Amino acid sequence: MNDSTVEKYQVFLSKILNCATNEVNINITFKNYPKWDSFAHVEVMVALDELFSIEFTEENFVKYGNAAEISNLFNEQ
Amino acid sequence: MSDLLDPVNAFFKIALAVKNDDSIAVKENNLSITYLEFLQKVQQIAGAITSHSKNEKIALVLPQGHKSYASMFASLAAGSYYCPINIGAPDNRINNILNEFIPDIIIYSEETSELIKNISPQATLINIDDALKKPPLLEPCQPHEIAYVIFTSGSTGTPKGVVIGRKGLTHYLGWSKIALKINETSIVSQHPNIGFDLSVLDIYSTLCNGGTLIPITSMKYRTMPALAIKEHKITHWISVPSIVDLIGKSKQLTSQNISSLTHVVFCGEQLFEHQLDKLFEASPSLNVINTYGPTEATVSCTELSLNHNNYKDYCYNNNVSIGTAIDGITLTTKKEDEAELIITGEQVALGYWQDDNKTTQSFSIKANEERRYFTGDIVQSTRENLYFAHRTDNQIKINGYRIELAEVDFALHQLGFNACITVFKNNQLYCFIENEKKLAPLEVTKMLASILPSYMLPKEVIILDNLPRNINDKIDAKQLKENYINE
Repeated sequence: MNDSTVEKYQVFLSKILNCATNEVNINITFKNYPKWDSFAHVEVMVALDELFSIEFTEENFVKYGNAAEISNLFNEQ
Repeated sequence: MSDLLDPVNAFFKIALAVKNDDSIAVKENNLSITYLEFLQKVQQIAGAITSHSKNEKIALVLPQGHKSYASMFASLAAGSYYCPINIGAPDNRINNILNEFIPDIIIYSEETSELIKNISPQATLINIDDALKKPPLLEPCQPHEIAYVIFTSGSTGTPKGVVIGRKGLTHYLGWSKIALKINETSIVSQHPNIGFDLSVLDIYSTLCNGGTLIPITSMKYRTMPALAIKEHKITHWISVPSIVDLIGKSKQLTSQNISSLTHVVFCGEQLFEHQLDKLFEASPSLNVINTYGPTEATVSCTELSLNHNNYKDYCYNNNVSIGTAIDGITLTTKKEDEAELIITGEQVALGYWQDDNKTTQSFSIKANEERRYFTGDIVQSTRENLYFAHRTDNQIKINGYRIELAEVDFALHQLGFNACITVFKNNQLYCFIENEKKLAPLEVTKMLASILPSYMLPKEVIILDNLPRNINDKIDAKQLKENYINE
């Protein structure tokens, strides 16, 4: 993953999770990051729908509950 | 108030009445617990509690689910009272609550055993799975005057315990029985954390009236509550109103998803007109009950029944009225138009846990007089309807969670920041700190996360060389809000 990808997913998540970009890393998930609660996760999914046309399916809600999967989307962009 | 409505009596009566069939009390993941099985668990846990000589105060350090619900009934059946703990809170906060409550017994599970490692040695520890092997207590003990103690945000930095009486709880269940119309065919959501008093409504109203309770715990259901409604055919949804926004954002507030719902009960925060617009558009036949009440009045003490035809009559400036007092409760204000609401009646708490000063400040408790609680909530009477206007102090609510701004300030002081202030704007918290320790905002947030629950964390920590002061030399919150936070 190049620096530009890292920066993109960090900016994306930090805006939704209301935190600094350097607080976002590949290991944060819905379960382990306090600010990533159910309300924030819905915001994540709304934004992924707008950017990548990720549908609101049950599978996708679970799949994109972690920074690693989200960073892959930016990597494939 | 009839003794038959006492939660233990009501539950035992229901459970014994249905014990020969397979009525489900709690449906949890792939597990269905019948009323008979649930009754046995209650009796076994009560047996485990009463096998210890010191058993008045029970702390429940358990995850949301049938074992914690059974432990609540068991505590009451054992003639004890309990304190439910939000196990998602930081360890430090859990320790603070347990150190304040000083339980005689802590009921825990494998999942929570780490949380109670450093707890005072005088408490007896009971593993819930061991308790479920104990001989049952078949006959409930004489009820204790107290039903439960629930801790909310406290301005001194330590959460404050609200002491709810058994009679107050019984009174509340009398109301919910009539208002919610839960029966054997009802399937009811259990969404709020057990450390949040709104959970009292769904847990007791369902299990005392023969309905089936569905804990909403998985990531799937927490983020997509509409799927829980659809898959479990939930008839009664009980939560804070902001869940409507959550469902709406994920594009799942559709007629198809919520067709099973007959009743929606809101409590814990302000209900807005746009939320009702969305709900009734998806399901015009819904019955919505809006309620209001502080933890100090046993969950809620007003009601307003809304339907597709009448709800606009109760909306004013996007706010929805909080309704009128339920039977047995009196609401008064000192002035006619806009004034602090005072609640009188059986449901008013017995006071704050071990804090006579705070109790005296907020309650009027006199012999031979009904208890009164001064809410600190300013209400406005418009077109003969009551509307919540604002607080008299610095207490705010985010997604139904009650937060004292002073508690966040206290946490900052604990971390060594002397000049700091927390403000509330655009429904978010912001912490301003004078640049004493040369730390980055991120580091401050991380430090705060170790002592405060996630809903108390600020959206932003803003560090300034000097915080502005007003003429009284106090930090000027107004100026900070205006100059540093965009609308």
